[in-house]
Amino acid sequence: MSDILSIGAGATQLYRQSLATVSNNIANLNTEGYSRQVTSSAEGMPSEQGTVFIGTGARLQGVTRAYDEFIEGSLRNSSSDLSTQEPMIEYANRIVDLMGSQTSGLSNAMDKFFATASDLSADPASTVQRNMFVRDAEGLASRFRELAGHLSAIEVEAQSSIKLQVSMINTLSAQLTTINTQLGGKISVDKQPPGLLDQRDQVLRDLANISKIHIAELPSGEVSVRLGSSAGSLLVEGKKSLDLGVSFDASDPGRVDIVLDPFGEPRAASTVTSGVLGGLINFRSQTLGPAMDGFDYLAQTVVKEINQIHTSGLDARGVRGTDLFKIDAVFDVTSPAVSTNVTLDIEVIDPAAFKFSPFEVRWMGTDKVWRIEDGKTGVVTFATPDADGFSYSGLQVNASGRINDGDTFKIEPRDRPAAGFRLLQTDPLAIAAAERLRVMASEANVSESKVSLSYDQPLDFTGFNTGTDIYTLGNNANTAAGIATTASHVTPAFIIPKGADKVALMMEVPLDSNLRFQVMTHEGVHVLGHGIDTDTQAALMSGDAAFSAVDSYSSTYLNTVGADAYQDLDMTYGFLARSAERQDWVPNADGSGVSAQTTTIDAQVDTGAIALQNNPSLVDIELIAQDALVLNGIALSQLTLAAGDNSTASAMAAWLNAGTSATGVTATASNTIEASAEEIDLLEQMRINGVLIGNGSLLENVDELAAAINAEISTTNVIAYVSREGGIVITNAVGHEGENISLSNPDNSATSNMLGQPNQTFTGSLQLHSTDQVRFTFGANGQPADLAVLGLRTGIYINGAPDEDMAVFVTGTGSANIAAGFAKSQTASQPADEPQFRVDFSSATRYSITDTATNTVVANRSYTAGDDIHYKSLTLSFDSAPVSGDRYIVDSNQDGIGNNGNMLTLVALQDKPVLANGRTLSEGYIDLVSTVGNKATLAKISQDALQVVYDQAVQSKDQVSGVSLDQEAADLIRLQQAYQASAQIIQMSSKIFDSILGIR
Amino acid sequence: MKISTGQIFDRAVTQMSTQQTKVAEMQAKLASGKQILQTSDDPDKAGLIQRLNTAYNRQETYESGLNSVDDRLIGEETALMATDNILQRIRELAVRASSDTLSGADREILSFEVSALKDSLLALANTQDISGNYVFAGSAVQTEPFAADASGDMSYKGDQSYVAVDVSEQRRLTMNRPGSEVFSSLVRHESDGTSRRVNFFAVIEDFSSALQSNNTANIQRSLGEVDQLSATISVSLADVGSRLSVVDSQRDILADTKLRYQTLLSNATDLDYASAVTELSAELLSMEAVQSSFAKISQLSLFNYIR
Repeated sequence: MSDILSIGAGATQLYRQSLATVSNNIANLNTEGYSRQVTSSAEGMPSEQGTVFIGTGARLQGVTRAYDEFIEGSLRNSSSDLSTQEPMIEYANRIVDLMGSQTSGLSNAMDKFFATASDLSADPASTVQRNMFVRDAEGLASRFRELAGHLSAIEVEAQSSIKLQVSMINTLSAQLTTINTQLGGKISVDKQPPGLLDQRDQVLRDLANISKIHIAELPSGEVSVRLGSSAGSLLVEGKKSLDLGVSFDASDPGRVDIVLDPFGEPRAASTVTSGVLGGLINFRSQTLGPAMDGFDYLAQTVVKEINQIHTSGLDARGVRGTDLFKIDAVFDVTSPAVSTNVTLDIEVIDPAAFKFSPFEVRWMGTDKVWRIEDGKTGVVTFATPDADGFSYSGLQVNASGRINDGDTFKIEPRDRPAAGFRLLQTDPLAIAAAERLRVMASEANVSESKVSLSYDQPLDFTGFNTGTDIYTLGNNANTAAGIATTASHVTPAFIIPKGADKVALMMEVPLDSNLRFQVMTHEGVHVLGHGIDTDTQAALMSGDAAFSAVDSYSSTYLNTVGADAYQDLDMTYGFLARSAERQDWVPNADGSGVSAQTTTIDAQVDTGAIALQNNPSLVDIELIAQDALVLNGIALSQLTLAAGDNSTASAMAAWLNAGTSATGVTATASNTIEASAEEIDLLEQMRINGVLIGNGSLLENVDELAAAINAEISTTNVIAYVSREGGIVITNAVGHEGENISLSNPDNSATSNMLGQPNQTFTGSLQLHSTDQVRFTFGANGQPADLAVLGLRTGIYINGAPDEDMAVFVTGTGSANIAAGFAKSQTASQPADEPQFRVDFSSATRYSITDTATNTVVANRSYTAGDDIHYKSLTLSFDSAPVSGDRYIVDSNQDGIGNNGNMLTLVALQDKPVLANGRTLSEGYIDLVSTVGNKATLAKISQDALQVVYDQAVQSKDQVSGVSLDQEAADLIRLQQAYQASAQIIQMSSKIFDSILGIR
Repeated sequence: MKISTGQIFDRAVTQMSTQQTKVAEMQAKLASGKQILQTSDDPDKAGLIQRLNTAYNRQETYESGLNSVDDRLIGEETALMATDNILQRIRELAVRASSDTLSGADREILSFEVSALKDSLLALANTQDISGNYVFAGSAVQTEPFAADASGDMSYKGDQSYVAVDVSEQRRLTMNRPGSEVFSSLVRHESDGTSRRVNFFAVIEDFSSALQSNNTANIQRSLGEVDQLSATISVSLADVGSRLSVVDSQRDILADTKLRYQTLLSNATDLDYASAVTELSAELLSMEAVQSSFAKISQLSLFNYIR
């Protein structure tokens, strides 16, 4: 009986608890993350009565969650995959809507720019059209800036979104460690409170939404979490969690660095590929970064291409166009410590030196200098500002406002060209619409031939094939440094390259040599050298392919100077020394600082020892012929050597001084022989000019030697003194300057003498002086050997850079050492202007080309009807053959403001494949938008597919863990009935008991 | 399979909101008449539309270029026709003057008219367009092309450049003829066998002075030369006329091209209302179905029957 009662009581308790569980399920119908709970009951241990076992009822075994860990895992994974797509779709669509919009996109502004350019080409002289062009150019520039600004706003937003997701991961990790701690109290997961496990799963689901995670579960239900896969960075383990941090690179928007434990031991975390965070990172690296880079590339190309066209035309004032657009570097200036309202103005002045690295500047009030610290290397430098501020690594930085000591600014350059897109030329008249050159037929031409001009043709002359480039000689005009060169009438010995400045080519020849220099242009203009016969002319122009058969030899400019010179170049063949000016800063007498003072240094030449020649004959001989040498434009008279005489420097000085009044050159002669202490051998003997020194007695020392020489002054005309180094210097006595000094040894077998010098006659040298210049050139019968008589080398001097290569021939017989000095001219940043020239037909088969700037006939050519004329990079074409007397003039298009040639080239740019992969500018932009759009579309398709997977996972989970009201209602009825039945058991047992009590 | 109560509601909500979005989108399309509301709806098609727009805008630019050429050519034609008339008159005078019946005094009277006509010709040669640019100066449009220098000799001061304007992708139309070709000089073969160039106006001037000096030989020569000048002007007139007809034909081509681009653009951007409205009704129908079915399904609960 009691067992019946206890069975009943137990059952009511069981069902009451079951009903409570069902009620709890119903109550938590809308609770996020709630798993349906189920009570489980177990049969009571039967009691043995005799041979039978009687059941003892049922008892509550436990309340468990309806849970499937595989379904939970797949739910988490599909949630990660699904949420990856969302940021890509959202942000990429924003970019597409921004850049692809009819109103805010670039296509519109670009179309407008080219349309206005086209309108301007129809009326280039119109100021109204020019103004509109400037306006639409500004429109294009500002559209570039706006779009770059919007893109960078999206970049900043994506950046803060990533930071938010990372901090959410950190929060969730921390929550998980708390849950882990609580779970740690029990050994088995079955014993854990279901609510706590629900909470744990909810946190894990939230984490999986942000990034794919890998989970390892302990028997107690505690979890450890890794980023991505089982090999990923460990985020949570037991009661420990590690924080994540994130950093960005301003110059590379595609790059995101996730850092593990940023405030402990920072290290790179494993890559995050899915989840919201993965999606954001993918968006930056796959979409935003390429889009910004592509946009910058587009901006740079637009600036480069348009500037290139604009700078090759002429504007309305007849001036060569300047850059139309410019790209400024953009700077972020932050001021961590600034006491007043100071603004920094930063401009790139030298793009080559500018390194895009951040730096910090601080004003040091007491020293009045800026302290500059490089942000990457930490190197500290100081700069003193002037009116324009100070310059640092290619930047000009100017602070405005009241600067106080310690004011600090952090300057971060951002390499985003499109954001700095700027219109540089705002003057409508400075828009270069016209072609820079034009060709006109002279009005007096008899022929009806029409001429047209084309630019930028490949040059018909690409340089000489033979001859040594003088640059390879090395910049050392000393003859000893030269190379031995053998004379040739056929091939050039040297080439003076186009643009070589201040060229000096020096040659030293013996007295009996007939070696000569000849300098030719490739068009056959003989510029420097000697008059030559027709055979030699033909020979010179035969050996190098650069000489064209149509060109004729011309000696018009041979050795001419001034306005008559070839292209007005300052060239000398012979010998040249010029006076120079030097500027010095001299302190003022009153102490008020310094002032500039110009000192003129006169032209001064020291020749080498003159050549020793003697005249054994009985008649005078000629050393230098009449008019062979020309000094400063004055032909020199004959230089003779009297019968029986030796040539002396003093005689030559006298000869030169005879013309001083005309030439302005004064000559002095001197003769000095130096012997060092080591060379002097006092045991030897010596005769000077035939006089035995020291009477043959042994001299003790150098001083005695000097005294012994000086003792014979009256007969030798030579004085001696001891040099500071202890050697002996002997020279002519006063009144005998420049006379020869002969040294000999009474001992005929000796090769040297007391001074250690060879036994020979020493000639003197000449010192030439002029306040203006000493310029020797050759007369008709002069040649380098004549200069050698005077102890001078022969040279080619070209002061100023010729605009073409020149060939240097060495003619005559034999060979000589030739050395060069030069300055390489700097290459101009602006494209060089083409030459302006005119073509004159002297007959139907012959024409000359004249450089109009210098009035130099640069070429004289034969002509075949129907041929084009090429000169430098220009080509003239004729529609019918020109005739004798025709003249065609190529000149600057200065007054041709109605010309639209350059604008047409600019308009044509829109169809030109200037971008990589042969795309035009607008195609490149549309491609950029499409690429981003395709990424978004792709992400949308993936999202749709992954949504299905996720929905299935949710459904599976709901099947297991979800609460269905119908099910609960059925359970409710079932349990209620069972409860009622159990209650009946108790009542029945009571009745049974009553029945027993009622037995009387 | 068990479907949890929460899921029933969630699903219904998702389905309804999806349907609502579709309806709203369709409505917006109907309202704007456009197939694509935002570029992101169909980036590829948006690219196509941008291309078509660019091409269409280009045609409009060509049209304005064509108008400039047209204006300019009409101006040239007018000046050339007037020139031709004057030259005809001078020719008449030359024919009359070469008649032996005229006395020296008669010829001198004729010379006055020739001088006056010469001045009219000069004015025509220095014609300016509405912007004040000289029509026959080549590209030196701000330089008076025909003026006498200090010695009284006429010469051409302009240049020989042609200004061309793009009127289609392939076609570039020249809109000027330099004065040196219109009022062109001619080659005079002198009695001594030499040849030299004589300026257009110098020819008329020579005629006038021949009349004054009663030099019949030179009058005869002038008659031939005026014929030559007249022929050159006729060539120029023919050239301008042919270019004007090119302008007309190019205008037709341009109109066709524009129409073609408009059609393409319309196909790409404009909404097909018939199908759009049908689609909207379909969407509305399915939305109603979702709503009513949800209303019914949500009523069903076992609890309704537990009393």
